[in-house]
Amino acid sequence: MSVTSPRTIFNSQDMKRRLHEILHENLHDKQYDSNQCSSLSKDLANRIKDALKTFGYERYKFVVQVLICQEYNENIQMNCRAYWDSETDRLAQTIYMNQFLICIATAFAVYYY
Amino acid sequence: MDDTHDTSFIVDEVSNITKEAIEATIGSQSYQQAKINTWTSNIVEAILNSLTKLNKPFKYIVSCVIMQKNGAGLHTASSCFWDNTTDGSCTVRWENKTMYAIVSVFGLSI
Repeated sequence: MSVTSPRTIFNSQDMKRRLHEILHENLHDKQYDSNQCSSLSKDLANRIKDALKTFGYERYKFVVQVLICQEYNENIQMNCRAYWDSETDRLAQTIYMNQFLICIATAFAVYYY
Repeated sequence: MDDTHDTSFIVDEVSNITKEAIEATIGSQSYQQAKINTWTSNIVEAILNSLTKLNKPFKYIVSCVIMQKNGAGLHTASSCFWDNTTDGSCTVRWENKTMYAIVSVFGLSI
C-alpha cells in the first residue's frame, strides 16, 4: 500500500473565515422558525461543503456539520473528538449569533492516503 | 466469506456502541450544569475507544451535543464529501425528562 502525503495541508484559518462569511450572508436577517430552520440547516451544510470543494485541496474528504438553535436562555454543550492523523487532518469551526438564533458550523477535513 | 465486513462502516454496530455509551454516562441522570462538560467528554471518549477496538482501517469523528429541555428548538444537519461505498455516518437522538443528547459518528476509510 503506497501512502501519499498532501501537497498542501488544509488551512483552518482560511476555512474559518469562509465559514463565517457564509453564515453571515445567510443568517443575518433570519429569525428562528422551526420549519424554515430545518431546510436552512441542510442548505447551509451543502453550501459549506461546496465552498470547501472550491478551495482545491487534493485528496481531502470533507464532513460538515451545522447546528442551529433558538436563542431561549437554554444551556447547551457541544463536544467533538476525532481519531485521525493530526499531521494531515484539520478542523475549522465558527459560531454565529444574532438575537434570535445561534449557529455552530464545523468543517472537518480528512486526508485520503 | 464476507470481505466487506472488515472494511466497511456498519451503521447498526456503531449505533449500538453509541447508545450504550449514552446510557452508561447519562442514562439515569438529570440535567446538571456542573456536570455537562464531563458528560459530553465521557460519551465521546467512550465511543471513540469502542470504535478503535473494532480495528478497522477508518478515521473517526464523533460529535456530541447535550441540551437542556426548556422549550428551545434545535436543528442539526450534516453534509459530506467522501466515498459513498466505504464511508458512513450514524446519528443517535436520545432524550430523558430534562435533556436531549444528539451524537453523530462519522467514519472515513483510509
